Amino acid sequence: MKWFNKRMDFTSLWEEDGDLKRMKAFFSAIEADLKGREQVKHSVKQKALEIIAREEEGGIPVAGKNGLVQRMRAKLVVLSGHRRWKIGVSVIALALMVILGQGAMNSSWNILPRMGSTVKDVQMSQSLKIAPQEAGSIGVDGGSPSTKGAAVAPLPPVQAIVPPADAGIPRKITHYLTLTLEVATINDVVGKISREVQQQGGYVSESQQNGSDSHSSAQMTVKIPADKLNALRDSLATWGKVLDQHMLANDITNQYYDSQVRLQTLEAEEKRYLEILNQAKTVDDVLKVENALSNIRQQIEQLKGQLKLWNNQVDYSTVNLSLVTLQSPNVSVKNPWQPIAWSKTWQATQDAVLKTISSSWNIINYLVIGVGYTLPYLMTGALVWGGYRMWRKRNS
Amino acid sequence: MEAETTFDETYELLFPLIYRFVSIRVPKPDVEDVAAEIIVNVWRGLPQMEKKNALKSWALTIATHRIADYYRAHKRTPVLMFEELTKPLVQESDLSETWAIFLSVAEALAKLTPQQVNVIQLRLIEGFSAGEVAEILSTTHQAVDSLLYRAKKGFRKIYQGNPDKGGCG
Repeated sequence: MKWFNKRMDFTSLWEEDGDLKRMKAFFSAIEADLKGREQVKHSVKQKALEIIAREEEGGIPVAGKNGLVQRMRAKLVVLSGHRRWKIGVSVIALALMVILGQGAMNSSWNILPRMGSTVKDVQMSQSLKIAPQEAGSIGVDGGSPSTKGAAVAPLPPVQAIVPPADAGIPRKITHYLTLTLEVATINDVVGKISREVQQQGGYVSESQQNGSDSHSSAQMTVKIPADKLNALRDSLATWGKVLDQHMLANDITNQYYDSQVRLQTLEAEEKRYLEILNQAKTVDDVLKVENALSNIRQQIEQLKGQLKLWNNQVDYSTVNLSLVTLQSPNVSVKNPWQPIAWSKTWQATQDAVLKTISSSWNIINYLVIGVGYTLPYLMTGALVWGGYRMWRKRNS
Repeated sequence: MEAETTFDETYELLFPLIYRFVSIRVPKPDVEDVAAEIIVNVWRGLPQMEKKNALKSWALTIATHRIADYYRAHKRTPVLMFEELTKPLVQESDLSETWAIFLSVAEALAKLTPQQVNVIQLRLIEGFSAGEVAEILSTTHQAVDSLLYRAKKGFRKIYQGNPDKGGCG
């Protein structure tokens, strides 16, 4: 096949054996045949002119000077004909869908009750949660009437029902508040809470933060004087969006006074044992009385500790706080059948653009890293290939 | 008037070439119609033509496409029409030899593939370059060279098989 590489002239190949001559003789015979047929030439010309005349009558452009304009005009004519109504119907249908979707999203109609902003859903769940408490409550804490801000935040739960106490005996009730707060920045709110708690005379018993700033969370346990609990809860609602809250009031009056009576009894018993000890004459008696006295003192210490703890729990309410950052709207969609609110569309779009840019940048990064990983293999392969080429060149 | 003159000039220039090309590729009753349509297409497309100096090769490109359309429309396989050609007008003394050559060459060409005959006619008879032929037939330069080489081998083999009709044996 070396002839192919040399690019030889194949017309000269045909000159061998007189084939080119034969071929030319054959085609010249056909040519000579045509020359004798002037009527054919005339007939073909007539047919060609007839075709041109027909096309001119039919409006098809003959010369191409204005071909583009005429073609565009022809297309427009076609479009404005049988396709016009199709385009019109499509545009109207799209406009209707947009109007319908926007109306449903803004909750101005009730045709799609499940669709709407997440805020409304939170309100619904909160009102359901507090319903049983409202049913049996006697007094509601002094929550402010609903303002615009209060409408967004869930309604504060009602404190537990307190049975009427005897006039001379104060009730002993411990309060526990569990609350989840969605905030913009964790650090700022943690600082605000700590300051507020200190101002109210309380203290932070536990605090924990984790995660980066965009997806961070924090858990706090604070102790606040019982009478300042409502004030703190109101303050919390102004620093973020309350996602969930749970109030537990535990009445320990019976246990408290039982323990107090037991303590008084034990103290009286201790007093009597001390008197017996003073009257004891033998060593055996002394040892027996001291043994009983030690046992009683141990019980007294336990009861005192318990009462001290209860006093602290009654005086200081416990608040467990969970702080979460505001999630990006295009990633916080938990229920796919509940689209994000129109008000967050612009934010979601910004996030999407940033995500695309960062993803593209990441792809480039991964590519460079991938090249780094494969570089030793690529270099080895290049060396082997170069060596093979050199070896082949030497051998040839 | 100017357009008429232009058409006449174009027609005079292209008719022999087009008719020669069409007459051996399309059945005789349709040759005139197909040739007329090709010439009209060429004349209509002249203003948009890019290579003004390659009119003939461009016209043959249109002819190739039009012939392909013809066979596609008639749902037939392209064939060469050597049997329908009129006998050559020759002198009485040369009758026997010329007639034999004509028949044997026609028979050999009929046994080659249409693409090989295309290359023989365009390259050897019409004198187009390999690049021009490649453009006309919508193929590559190498393919044209290969076709011409194979056509030569095929033609020689068939022609040698017909010693009675002028083959070299």
